[in-house]
Amino acid sequence: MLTGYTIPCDGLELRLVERLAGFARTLRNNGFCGGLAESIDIARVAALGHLTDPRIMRWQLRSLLCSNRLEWRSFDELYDHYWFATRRRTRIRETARATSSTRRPLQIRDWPAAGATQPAQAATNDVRLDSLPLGPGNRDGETVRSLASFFESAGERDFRSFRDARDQRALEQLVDRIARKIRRRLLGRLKRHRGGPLLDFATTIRNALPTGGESVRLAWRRRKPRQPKLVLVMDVSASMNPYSMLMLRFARGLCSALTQMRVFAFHTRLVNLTATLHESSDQRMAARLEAISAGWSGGTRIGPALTELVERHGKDIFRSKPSLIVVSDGLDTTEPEILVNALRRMKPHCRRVYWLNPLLGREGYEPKARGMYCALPYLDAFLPAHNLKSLLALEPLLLRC
Amino acid sequence: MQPTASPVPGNVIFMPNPVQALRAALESHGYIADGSLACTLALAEQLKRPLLLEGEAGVGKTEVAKALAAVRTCELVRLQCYEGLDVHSAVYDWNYQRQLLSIRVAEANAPRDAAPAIAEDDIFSEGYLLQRPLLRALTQAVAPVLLIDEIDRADEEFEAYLLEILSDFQVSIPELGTIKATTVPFVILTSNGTRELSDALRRRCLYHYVEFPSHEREVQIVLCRVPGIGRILAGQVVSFVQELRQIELRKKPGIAETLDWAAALLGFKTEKLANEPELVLETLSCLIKTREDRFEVTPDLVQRLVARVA
Repeated sequence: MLTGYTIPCDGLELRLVERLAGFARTLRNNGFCGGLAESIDIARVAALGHLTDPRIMRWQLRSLLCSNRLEWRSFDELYDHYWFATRRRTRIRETARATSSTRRPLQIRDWPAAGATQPAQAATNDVRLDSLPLGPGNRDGETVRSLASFFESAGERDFRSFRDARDQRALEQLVDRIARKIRRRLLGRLKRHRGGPLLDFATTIRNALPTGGESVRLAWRRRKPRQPKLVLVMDVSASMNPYSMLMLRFARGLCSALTQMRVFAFHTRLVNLTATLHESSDQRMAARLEAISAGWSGGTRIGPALTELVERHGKDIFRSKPSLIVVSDGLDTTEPEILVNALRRMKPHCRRVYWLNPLLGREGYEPKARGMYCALPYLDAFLPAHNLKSLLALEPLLLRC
Repeated sequence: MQPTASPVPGNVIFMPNPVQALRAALESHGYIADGSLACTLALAEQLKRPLLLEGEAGVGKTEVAKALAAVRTCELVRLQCYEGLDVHSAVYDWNYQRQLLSIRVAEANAPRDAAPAIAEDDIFSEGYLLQRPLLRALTQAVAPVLLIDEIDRADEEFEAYLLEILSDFQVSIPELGTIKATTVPFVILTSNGTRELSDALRRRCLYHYVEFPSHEREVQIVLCRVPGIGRILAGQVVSFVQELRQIELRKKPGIAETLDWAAALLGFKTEKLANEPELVLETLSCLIKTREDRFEVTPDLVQRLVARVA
């Protein structure tokens, strides 16, 4: 395929050029995103005359053919396999793969897989997933359609009623998408937002051309996008079990857009998840989360947790007047006065205080638990977060933050 | 050596290995590169392709560009990217104040009822053009090193625009026309991975993932950058920092931190870490930069690490 091109590889034998092209093909089959241009580059590099030094050849091909960290990591193995083929069984594919969608039961470790994308696609994915809440996250159309219909059937079902592992995973994907959709809306708002006190001198002068150099219409520089400041505090105690994992995914989705978002989790004590959820690599985040979450699902001490939030992190997080979102079922084991006190102290420093309670979606539920009941006067909104529709309904609320 | 006088067997032409040469040159300017990085740099030079460097903060990505500019004895043009970076602060802008002033002066000087003696072409000429880093990099007599730092912080729109410049090496200014590059700069892009870069940009570039240096190489760096430090102390400092990097810290100490700390310890006339555990604790602020990490690195842990590296 390469011989048809005029490439400066006079010194190379045809056999070698074919071998090199074969190597590029192998990489492509294994998910590298290089194209024909890269194949030509390989031949050109080889013709530079470092074939005799195997190390340099390897390094050159590596920087030429890799384009991200994942590829960088797997290159050496592929290289060895192709040029110094060994007998041992490896995971390397000789032919292009069909996107597989087999899944294992979910643990935190499985986080990246549940995103339904190959690493190589991840970059483009974000762009392609447009305003549709259920846009294609996966190249094979079936999964998408089934997810969409899954949403139709499951949109109003309570999260805790999904017992099947497959349903669980579909649910997690949907939660990811909802987060992504809301994130896009938030970012879109930041981009569209114009106006501000800075005069754009260049454009003003340009605008003055039709009026003979007199500036009639002033142009303003785009104001630096202001991010909504959010503090999310979620309950990860035993009673919240069916919901906390999904809320974590939801928070992770939002975190990737809102760099200033803070996330805390609490059961009997408060844990700062901000750094973990802002971790750029999915694997590292899952590993860290796993380490942190060892003792979770204990009892609930909402009041002391919120008090700790004020006392230990208050100076830091309440400086910029954020909106506070508490996700909890409100079943506190401590005295309600502690909770009320904490809320009273926080209230003046918060733009808004929201409470998301999964129990609110159940029929016949009323906030009668003493802690919950006493907290109500301090809330700007008290909303359910028990199914997909209720998560979608959070969007206008987040936009107001 | 005359190639005709001493024929080399086969069709392989003998020449001094450019990778080794570049590596030695970098080292003479105080940058200790490992072989694969030197190789990538040499390749980028040969292919005239931009080079995308990724890696954790503090592994010396920006430093590569500086050292390279020193080696090539050319200018280093640096564009620091940030959110909201636009063409007017990255490529060019018109000096509107000066243009306006010229017009007003011409109007004032012109005799009554006559057109001002200034032509439109004069107003939009190079004299009124403010060159921002990208344009400046294209118009140098000697090809400079163009460092586009932290490209992941710029917006996607700017990234697309950059792609256009990097493929054609020309800039079109509506009022002036197209400015073609007089020399093709050596482009280095760095990224910390706060945002996923577009595939198109990645494919335009050569790629290198810069790792934290090996123990041996980091010792070399310390010896090279902190003159007067003993080999023993350098070895211990590096071992300590590398142990520290294994711990889950919010901000891992980079090479710059290692150098700072080594210089600090040298300033206190330390010879061995084990001799002065107090001092290690007190100077730890060179390495640990956040409150959480400070909390994490307990005196107990420090003592254990010191014992391990001694």
